Parts: sequence; structure tokens; C-alpha cells
Amino acid sequence: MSDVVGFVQIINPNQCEWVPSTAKNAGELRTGHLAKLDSSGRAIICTTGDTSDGVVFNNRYQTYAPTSVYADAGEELSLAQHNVRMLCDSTNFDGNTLPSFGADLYVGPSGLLTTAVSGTVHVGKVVRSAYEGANMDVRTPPGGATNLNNLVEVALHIAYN
Amino acid sequence: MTNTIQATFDELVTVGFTEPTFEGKRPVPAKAKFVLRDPSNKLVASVGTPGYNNSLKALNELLMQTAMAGDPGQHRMFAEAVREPIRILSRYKSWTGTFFAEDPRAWGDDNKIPVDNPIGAAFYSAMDSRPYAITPGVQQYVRPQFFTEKAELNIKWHTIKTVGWNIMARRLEEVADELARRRDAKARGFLVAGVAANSATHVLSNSGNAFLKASIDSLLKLSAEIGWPITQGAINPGRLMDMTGWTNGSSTSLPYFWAPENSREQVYRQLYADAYGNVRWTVSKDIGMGEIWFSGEPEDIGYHQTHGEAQSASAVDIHLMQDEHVIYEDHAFYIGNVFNVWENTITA
Repeated sequence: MSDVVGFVQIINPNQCEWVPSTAKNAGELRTGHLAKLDSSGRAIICTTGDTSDGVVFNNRYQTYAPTSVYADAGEELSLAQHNVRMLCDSTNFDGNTLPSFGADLYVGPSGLLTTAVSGTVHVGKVVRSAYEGANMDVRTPPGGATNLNNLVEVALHIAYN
Repeated sequence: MTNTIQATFDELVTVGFTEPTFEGKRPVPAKAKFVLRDPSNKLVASVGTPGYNNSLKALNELLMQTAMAGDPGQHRMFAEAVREPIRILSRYKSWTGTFFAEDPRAWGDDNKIPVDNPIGAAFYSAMDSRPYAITPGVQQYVRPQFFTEKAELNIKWHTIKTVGWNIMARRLEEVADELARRRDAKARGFLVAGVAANSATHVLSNSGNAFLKASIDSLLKLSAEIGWPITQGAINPGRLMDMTGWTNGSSTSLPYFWAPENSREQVYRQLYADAYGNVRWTVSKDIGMGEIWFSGEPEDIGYHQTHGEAQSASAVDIHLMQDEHVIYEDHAFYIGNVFNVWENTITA
């Protein structure tokens, strides 16, 4: 089966800076991960304490019809920088737990966002978890009335200096 | 297609059929001409014309003619040519095909299937605010793994001369049945894995060694609730006949008292009623008595991929004095929507 991973969307693409890069390692980076550039300009996944150079966006336009969402070594991808707003479900956060409204966000392990403070680099905060009392959510399979996936909106500031 | 039977002794008896066989039944020709010839090709007896429509009647008439001829050797020769052993192994009834949409591929094709990744979303906003942009991401694919199943049937020449009936046709039927059984076993494995992904809701177990109305009612409700309603089921016919024990409440209630009259009549005649819950049944004695499978339509479940029809090859081995027949076929299965398959398991 597939390795489709949750819901993560950059919701203000026209307001971000889009930086080209390539993945250094295979099977490491997918859309939504926090990545940093090495000295050769290749993207590698961030871990706790790293300074991120952007949020990965990669639709993998491969002629061989990819089975995975993760980039191959040397595969082109883009990094969204500066003012990045994202809608995320819990899979984009360390511990697979959706943070609460107003929580500060830091660079976490394996390219994920984390709310843990110690030894980490601040990258943004949760700016919305509901609208007029209604959850930010999307429908998920199989599609019944209660098959909903809650989301939060995060505002990130990445690679400003 | 013609079918030839060879008899015992040194004489050759030919009986011609003009109809192809079809699944589950022996050759029943619509038109036939039957002849009996001796080794010098002299016509011994014949009946029917190319327009003769009742083949069985023609066959019996030919047999009578042969018998009346008074030659026990000819009679015995012909009788052995057309008398086959009574079956003791019932034909296999394939049942998993109803759960998969057919997806034939050519040899060498990339058998990729795109994977669905629903993301459509809309959110409350304000007149002067921007919308939340949603962008489809990676289009992932899966490539189901093909498996090959094969069968080989060797018929000794002396067997053909000895048995006096069309043994190859019977044994080939059994080979075809076994290929179908193996294929079903693989497909069933995908159904098992599919319901296991959501076993808390998609596998319903009941004891009592019976198919219960409460079980199918529960599954119909659950499937309707999530928007993937059950439309078909696969069941052993003996298990389906548990409907005769359905009641509507207390033990003093008459079975089916609330059902339409034609349903009560069906239960009386065939021990089950069609279309309960609008479920379309595939009935096969080759489904275990401990399981009943339910689903929506196959195009909302997954695919059965093949490399065309079954292939066959034949050869003659003059050293071993036998005819050799090999049949092989490729299959792959994929379930894309595990939410659309359900199982009712039944225990003692």
C-alpha cells in the first residue's frame, strides 16, 4: 500500500519565498518536513536544535510513477521560506499530537515541528485551531459524518537571517 | 470445437460434438451426427443429420441400433465410448471475482495503479481575507505483484486406449477447477488483509454456528453509516439456508411473518430469500461455513490484474509415450478501499 502521510498544506504559497534545491539522501524528505541546506546546497532533514532553511515541497514529477512520497537522492525539490503558513494535522508534529492554540513551535526531530522548548530553535506558533468555534478539519476516509481530521494553522518564520 | 472419444480394443469409435463446453456442465451438443465405424472405416451404424437437434436422443438411438445389431463387441465398444464415470467431486465454483474490477494488462505493461489521496477542503474566511490554498501533492502509485499458477496434465497413450471414455476432458475440468481454487485463495488473502485493517468495525463475529439476521442487519447499518453501503455478499449455500431460522423477536414469533409474501414462498421452496437488505448474493459451496463476505461494487474496492487469458502448451513425449499439457496464468490483486469490504465470521 501507500505511505501517504496525513494532511500538510502550505496555504499561502504566493507569500513565501521558494528556494530550489535537491535532496541529498533518498527516502528522507517529503512535503511538510523542515529541512536545512548543507555546504553544497543540498537539502537534508532537520533534527532537534537545527536551524531550518525551509519547509519542503516536492510533488515528485517522475516519469517512473513513484510509489513513495519521499524524495530520491539528487531529486529536485523546493523549500518554502520566510513567512510560511501551513495547515497541519498531528502527523506533522513530534509525538503525533496536535498542539493547542497559541503553542510555540520549534524545530523537532525527523523534520517535524515540536512544542518542546529545551535546546530547540523557535520557528513559529499555532495561530489558529478553530474558526468561530468550529474546528479546523477535513474529511478523512471512509467518509462518514464523524470521519474528520482536526487541523491547526501554524505561522512559521524561516531563514530570515 | 469437437470432442473425440476413443474406445477399447483396436477399433476406433468417434463421436462428434459440435458445441463447446461451458463451466459447470458437460458437453451438451445442440446438433450432432453420430457414427460408428469399424477399423476399416466401414460404417457400422449412424443416426442423425447435421440438422438433428436432440443429441441425447440421437445417442440413445445409435446405441439401440448397435445393440439390436446383435454384436456384443460393437455394443460394448460403443457403450464404453459414451459412458463416463459418475462424478464424485463436485465442480469448483469460483467466488472472489465479484469483489475485484477486471484490469487486464499486456505482458511488459507497467501495472501501476494510482493511489487516492483526498485533500479537498474549504474553510470559513472573511470578505477581504485570502482563501487557504490547498495543493494536491505527490501522485503515488502501487504496482501489485503478479503470481503465476500452473498445472500439468500427462496422459499416457495406453490410458487413452484402455479407459474407453473421454478421460482427458474430465481431468482437464479438474485442473481448471484447481487453478480457480488457487486463484480464489490468493484473492481471499487480500480480502482478509483488507478487513483486518479495520477489524474493529469491519469484522463482525457471532457464535451459534449460524448466519444471523442480527449480524447482517448490523453490517448493513454500519456500511450505510460511512457512505460505502453493502450491495453484495458471498456465502456458502448451506450457510445461506440458515435464513430458515430467522425470527423477528421472541421465540413465539413466526419466522418471516413480517416479510413479503414472495419472500416467505422463497424460503419455503429454497430455504432462503433473495434480496434481503438488497444484498446480491454470490453463492458457492467452496466458501467456508465460518465466513460470509460483504462489499460494495467491485470498482469501488480494487483490481484483479491479468496477463490475458490462461495460456496452454502441449507436447508429445514418444519416449514416455504420453501427451503432455501445461496450463498457466498470471494474476495480481489489489484492494484500494479497505473500507468497502466486510466479513461476518461464524463460530460454534
